[in-house]
Amino acid sequence: MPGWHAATRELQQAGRLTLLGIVLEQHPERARLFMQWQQLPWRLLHDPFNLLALPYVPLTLAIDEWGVIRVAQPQLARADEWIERFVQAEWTAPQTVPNFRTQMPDLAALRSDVEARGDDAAAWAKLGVQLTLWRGEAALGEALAAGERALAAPAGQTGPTHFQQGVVYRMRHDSAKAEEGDFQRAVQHWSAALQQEPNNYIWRRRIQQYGPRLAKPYSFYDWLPQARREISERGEVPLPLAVEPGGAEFAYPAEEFTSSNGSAGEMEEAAARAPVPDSAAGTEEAARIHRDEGLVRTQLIAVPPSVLPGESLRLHFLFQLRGEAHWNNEAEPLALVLEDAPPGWQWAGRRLWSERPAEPTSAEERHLEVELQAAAEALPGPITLRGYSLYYVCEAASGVCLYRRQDFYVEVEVMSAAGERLKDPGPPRPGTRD
Amino acid sequence: MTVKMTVESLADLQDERYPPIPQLRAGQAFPELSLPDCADGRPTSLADFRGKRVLLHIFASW
Repeated sequence: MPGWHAATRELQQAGRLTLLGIVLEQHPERARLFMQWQQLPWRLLHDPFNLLALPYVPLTLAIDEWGVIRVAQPQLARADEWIERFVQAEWTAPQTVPNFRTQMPDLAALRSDVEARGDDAAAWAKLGVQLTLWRGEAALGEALAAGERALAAPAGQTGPTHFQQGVVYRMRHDSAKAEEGDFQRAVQHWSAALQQEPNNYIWRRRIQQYGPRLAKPYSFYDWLPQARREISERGEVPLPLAVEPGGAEFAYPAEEFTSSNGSAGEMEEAAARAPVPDSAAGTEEAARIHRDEGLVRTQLIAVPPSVLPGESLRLHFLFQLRGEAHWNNEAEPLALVLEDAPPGWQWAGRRLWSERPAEPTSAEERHLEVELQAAAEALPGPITLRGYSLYYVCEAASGVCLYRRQDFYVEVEVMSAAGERLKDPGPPRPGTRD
Repeated sequence: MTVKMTVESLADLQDERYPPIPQLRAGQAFPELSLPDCADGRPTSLADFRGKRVLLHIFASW
């Protein structure tokens, strides 16, 4: 993008060429921040669903005043040869000039039309897209219902609709209307889409964004700290992000799985970084800590939702306060303790600690991530992994502060062949020991 | 000075590292599609740029 901007700067300033962007990311404000950093003052549109069905990005198109593509995917290196020619050329008007006009779709009329069509999968899918694009957070539940109707209809291609459902579930997860399991359902739908088109680069990137390092092509957002720093150094305020990227989105790819599986040295190093709470780390005393009875809700998300033997996955743990509960930051940070994995399975780490804000109390959602590698000889079927979290939480602003433990288990489905990934094991859920 | 041009006269400028996309070839009208503007959510399409020469870049920041 910066290259195209530089190559066309004079034409833009002369009003002879307009640059326009379309971003395909889930969170478009990240692209806006990128453009602020690179000082690209173009208008930017958002297509989270890849409605153009592109097999890859980036894609550049030179389009004339009639809306006709004149050069597709031109070479930036040869920009001097053709941009001036493209701008100077007298392009012939098409025989039929499209009379398409931009307007907000009439969603009520669209809904009525779709309902009248019955089991028209494409129509229901379109309704889900339009509700999401134009009514946003208020209509995400309705958009998901429309997508489910599309998937339930007797139709052919469901891959795009699965991808669409993943986008909408993740949007709802990031919204004030988030429901438990939304993120996991997003991952499951993206996974189902990719099963149908394993070579769909756009769909694969969406899972890789949140997935394990072994499956990553690169760090997705490692540019972000530098961008913010350089924007600030220019005296500007970096554009805010609605959702800060998490660990998986910054993580770099790895060629082999690295496990700390609780070796003494690594444990000491980790403990030095963030002291283990006195009673933690699997001791009998830890077992006697009172269980949390509803102050903190824990969600577990497995990316991908199932694995083949020897593959790795990334588990996301979300800790959300209920009601007026809040974190006590004057005590130790939230700790996550993972119990022994089954033989041959490996955790990347078995003790994790959350960040601890500077203020004495806070109520933010806490997020920890850890990777897990399946045994090379793992047999098909579910495998249960267990652990617990320890945290200091206060019941209300002036309420009692408590040290609490919450146990969880997660079932990971091991598949015998790639085709079996389509099976939906349901969202992993925290639970008490059985 | 304007020069009468054809799509073919610029065809050799396509970057061969990228396979052609059937629905977005030179000579075809860009699909009719309204999308929200990231700045304000306003519906926007290529029709809003009628009369202008546009360089459209579709991308992700990752």
